Amino acid sequence: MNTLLLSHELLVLALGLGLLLVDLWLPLPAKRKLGYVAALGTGLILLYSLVCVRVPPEGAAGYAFSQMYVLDGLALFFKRFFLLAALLVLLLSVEFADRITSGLSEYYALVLFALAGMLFAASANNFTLLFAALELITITFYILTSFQRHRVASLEAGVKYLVIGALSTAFMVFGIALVYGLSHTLSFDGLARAAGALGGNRVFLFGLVLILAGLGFKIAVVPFQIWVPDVYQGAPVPTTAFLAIGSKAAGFVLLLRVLFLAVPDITAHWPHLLMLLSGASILYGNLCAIPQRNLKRLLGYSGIAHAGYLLLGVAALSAAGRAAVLYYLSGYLFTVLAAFTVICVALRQVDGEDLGALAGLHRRSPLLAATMTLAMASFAGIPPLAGFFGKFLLLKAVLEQAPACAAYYYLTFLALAGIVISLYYYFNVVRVIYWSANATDLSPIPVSGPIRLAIYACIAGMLYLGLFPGGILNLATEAVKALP
Amino acid sequence: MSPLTYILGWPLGAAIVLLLVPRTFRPVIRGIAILATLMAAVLAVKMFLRFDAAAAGYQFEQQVAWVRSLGLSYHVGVDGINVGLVLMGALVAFAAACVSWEIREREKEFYLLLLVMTGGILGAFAALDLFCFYFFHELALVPTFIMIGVWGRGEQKDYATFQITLYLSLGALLALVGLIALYVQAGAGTFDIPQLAAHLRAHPLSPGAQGFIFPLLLFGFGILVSLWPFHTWAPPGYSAAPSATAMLHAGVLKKFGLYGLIRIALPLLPDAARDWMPILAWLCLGNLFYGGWVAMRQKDFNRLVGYSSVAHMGFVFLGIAALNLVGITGAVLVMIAHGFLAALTFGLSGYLYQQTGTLEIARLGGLLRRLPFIGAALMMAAFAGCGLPGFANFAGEITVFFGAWQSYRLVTILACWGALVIGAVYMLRAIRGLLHGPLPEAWAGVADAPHLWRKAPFLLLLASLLIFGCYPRLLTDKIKPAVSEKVAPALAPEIPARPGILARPAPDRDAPQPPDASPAALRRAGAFPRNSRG
Amino acid sequence: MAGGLLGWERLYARQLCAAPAAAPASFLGDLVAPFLHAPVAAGSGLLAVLIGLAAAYGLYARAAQDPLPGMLGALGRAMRNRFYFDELYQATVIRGHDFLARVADGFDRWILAGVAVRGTHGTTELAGRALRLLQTGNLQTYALLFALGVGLILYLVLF
Repeated sequence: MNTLLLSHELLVLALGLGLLLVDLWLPLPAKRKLGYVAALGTGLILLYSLVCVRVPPEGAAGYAFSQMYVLDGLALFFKRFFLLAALLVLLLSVEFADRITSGLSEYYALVLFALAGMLFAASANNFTLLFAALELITITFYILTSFQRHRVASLEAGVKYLVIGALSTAFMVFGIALVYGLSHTLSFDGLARAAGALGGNRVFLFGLVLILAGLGFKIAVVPFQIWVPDVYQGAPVPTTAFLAIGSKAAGFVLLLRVLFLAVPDITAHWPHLLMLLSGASILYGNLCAIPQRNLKRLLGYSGIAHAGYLLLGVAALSAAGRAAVLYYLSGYLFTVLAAFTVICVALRQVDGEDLGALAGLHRRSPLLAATMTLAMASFAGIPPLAGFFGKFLLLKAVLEQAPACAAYYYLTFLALAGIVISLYYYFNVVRVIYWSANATDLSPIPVSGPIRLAIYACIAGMLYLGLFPGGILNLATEAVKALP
Repeated sequence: MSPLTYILGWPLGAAIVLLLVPRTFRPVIRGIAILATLMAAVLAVKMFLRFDAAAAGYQFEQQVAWVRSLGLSYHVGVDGINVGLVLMGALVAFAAACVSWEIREREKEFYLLLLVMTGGILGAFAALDLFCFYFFHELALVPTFIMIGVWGRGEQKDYATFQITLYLSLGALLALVGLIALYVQAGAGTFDIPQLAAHLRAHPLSPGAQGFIFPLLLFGFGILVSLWPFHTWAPPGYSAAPSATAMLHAGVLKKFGLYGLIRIALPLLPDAARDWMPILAWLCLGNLFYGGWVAMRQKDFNRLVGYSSVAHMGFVFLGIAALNLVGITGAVLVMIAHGFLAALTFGLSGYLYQQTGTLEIARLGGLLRRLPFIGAALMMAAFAGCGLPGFANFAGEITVFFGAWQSYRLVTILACWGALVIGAVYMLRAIRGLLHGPLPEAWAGVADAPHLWRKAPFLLLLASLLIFGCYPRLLTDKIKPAVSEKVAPALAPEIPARPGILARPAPDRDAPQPPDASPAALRRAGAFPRNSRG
Repeated sequence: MAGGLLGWERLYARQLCAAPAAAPASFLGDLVAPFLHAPVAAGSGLLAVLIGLAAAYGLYARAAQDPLPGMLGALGRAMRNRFYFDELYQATVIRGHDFLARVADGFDRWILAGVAVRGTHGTTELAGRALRLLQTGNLQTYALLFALGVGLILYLVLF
């Protein structure tokens, strides 16, 4: 077995374990800097991935663990995605460090372990590895969510995530068992061969839907989204950020593989189900976000809506749709991390992330104000930012399928309604930043060097994906060629 | 590098430069903004003068591939239709930058947003690629929102700014769906407008597809242009906005939807256009009459001008609905004329607001004594709005009426009434209320525009109105060939011109008569396969 | 008049129609041209000028005050009141338009801006607030909703 295929995961695990070891000898004041070391290590691994690891040509993907683990274009795209996300989240965690009362280095290490789980998930080619990777991610997030033991909200969020997560895992395992029982194989390739015959089998579909319930929990679509607002609100800010992007993307890569690699024939009969889930998520997420005053909760609901938009690309059942999903996730990475960075820095003094605390931000820190505005505009889908081109690609993918099936037109109009509704609450944040009358504290906010770096990276990412989409679009299109 | 790239590059580049200037260097910030818009205006005038009316196709083109796999490119170019619009946009933007003396706080952010908005608008008019077209227009969305919110006036400004942003986004998104559907249905794999036009001329879309896409474009663009009944965003938005924003929005940004209809919807979807134009003709009466009547009831001058701009859009819709060369040429002429007019009016009302703090007509009065220049300019603007000959609006309106008469007799008659009578009523009442009559004590101290620099933007706009009003051929010579070439698939066959009465030789009775090209005869001959009402 | 004599219309004709009319031979030819082209119209115009001059001289040459109103009587009074045209206009057109303007303004304020725009805004906001109530905070409810969701999807797929 070629160990080099697992280089990303092994390096990340080594980094995490090394961090825990070093922590034993480090005095307390220095523990905070360990986060920078972790970030630097992650950055080096990302650099290694970009420079040394070549995308394998089509059909020549590398397999490990008897075909359970695959390293193809799709896997590599998402591995680099997760590494970048973890890098920015680690920088955010260092900023957040003074609000974590104990176990700081464990926090960094847990982030790295969650990252390792995500890296495994990107390469899952078998239900076993899918389950193992998902559990690694979810269990790590149980701890990360409830990390601030002195805050009841954090503990509550952790318990809710634990119970609902366990429920979804239970459904998923039951589903995997049923699928295995009928098809005698756990591998996606094997399932693709066997699923043709099993397409009409009710029990098989039953199992498949339960598996999708488990994956739906991760990506937070309706009707599996009920945990999102409370968990997003209660968890510490870097955890929420990593949940919002890493967990969601991991769910999506697994969903893409299951739907299009393992059971493509069955998925071809399910456009209406996917359209329904997509439309319901868009509507629910956008409507519920309107009255929100808590920023993290608002971003949670908006995350549900964005999962709905991403499902548009899945529901389109075309390669263009899948490429659009990857592109949109890339834009979402920079946008969501920019927003959470601003929340982390600007609301340092305030307990509870109320919208009103952003008042007067334009005076206190023009950089943070501009970043938040760009993030909100990118969420809303306004040029020249990443969110616009992502939405454009998703709408294009759906409209390309629309002549064949008129229901896609209804979905498009529903998405339009959702986008217009979302403009209201995103621009409300911009309003509070720039001209709210209730600005109480007008002291300037210091922004440390690494955070500044993270912010510039996010802004550059949003603008690059909005203005020069060709490069990443080509990468995404190449990556989805791994799915037939 | 095409001059067009410079025209939209100067404002956008200046916006980036402004990011680096500290916020306390106020004169530097103002200077950069005015310089950038001045450069754009000068380049636009040069381009306008160098434009060759006789050449076919597009001039000053530049195309750079953007996303090859989708067929997106940065493609800018002008033909007769948009060369006047780019000129109008650049001049109005310069005037708007000059008029913004009243902004005294947070200038850096204001001018930055103004420059981004300008770049977006000019890019939208110059774009020859469907994606670019939409992209540049949406650049103006966030600046509008923030400008009305931070520097706007009145207690309703929050509601007004949310309304304008969400309503216009709805329209723009509908149009986006229409544009993407057009791209998908055309099957040419490109968003480039000239290539699409050539492709669709050879392989037109099926009537079903056209019937689906055209209403999306019509109502999407229509919302952007305050087509009745989707107009309620305009008056509160314009009355709450600071003058520069109102000038740019009402003067220039509003024309984007109309330009989209003429450039994209009519040529690429000609059959559906013929079906929908009768509906548009009757809806435009809604704009003219309804907008005029509600304007008559307004107590606030800015809201009155807002409703009047809604009413003026009725002319352009009528011209487009006429679907003939004269009508569409008139429509473009009205677009350019109204751009200058709206900018002038909102600029002047902004000056009034700055001096008196109110725009309620009942509380003002007799201002002509204290403000001779501003008052005179306001009167000229009002008369231009009523359609007084000598101003560009008259040239446009009369051309639209001539064009629409050939297609819709009853609508044209009603439109004349709406335009001339109702327009005169509310405009002259407003002028009487503002400028004539007794001067209340409170405004005894208001001062006129002190020196040439403060008068300059108004003089510029007035001069444009007068020049294009006295010599409309400067514009129509360029517009007519472009319309007849580009919008040809949708146009009704042209009625050949009769010899003018000033010609010396009497008509030769033995010469063969020109073919009977009245609509009735054409219908008999089967030129319009479907029922066209009007 | 001066402009007409100078040939102003030839200058402006270039703006109105593409081909300028053929130029006449001489200044005198230019003066006589309208009479040759349309004798009745031009002749009536000249006649009107001459009659007017004569009447004006006859009435006003040696008069201390304007004799015309006395001569015309009721017609003179009507002319002084501008044939009551303004009052007619005010009573019919202006009143009619003011009424229609009130109707349109009411429609705009209440129906279009009120029901359509504010109504949509309010409905959406209400829907948002209503849906938010699903988040009761109670974990058991969440678990139940999750299971119900799974059940719903199963129902849709299998039946």
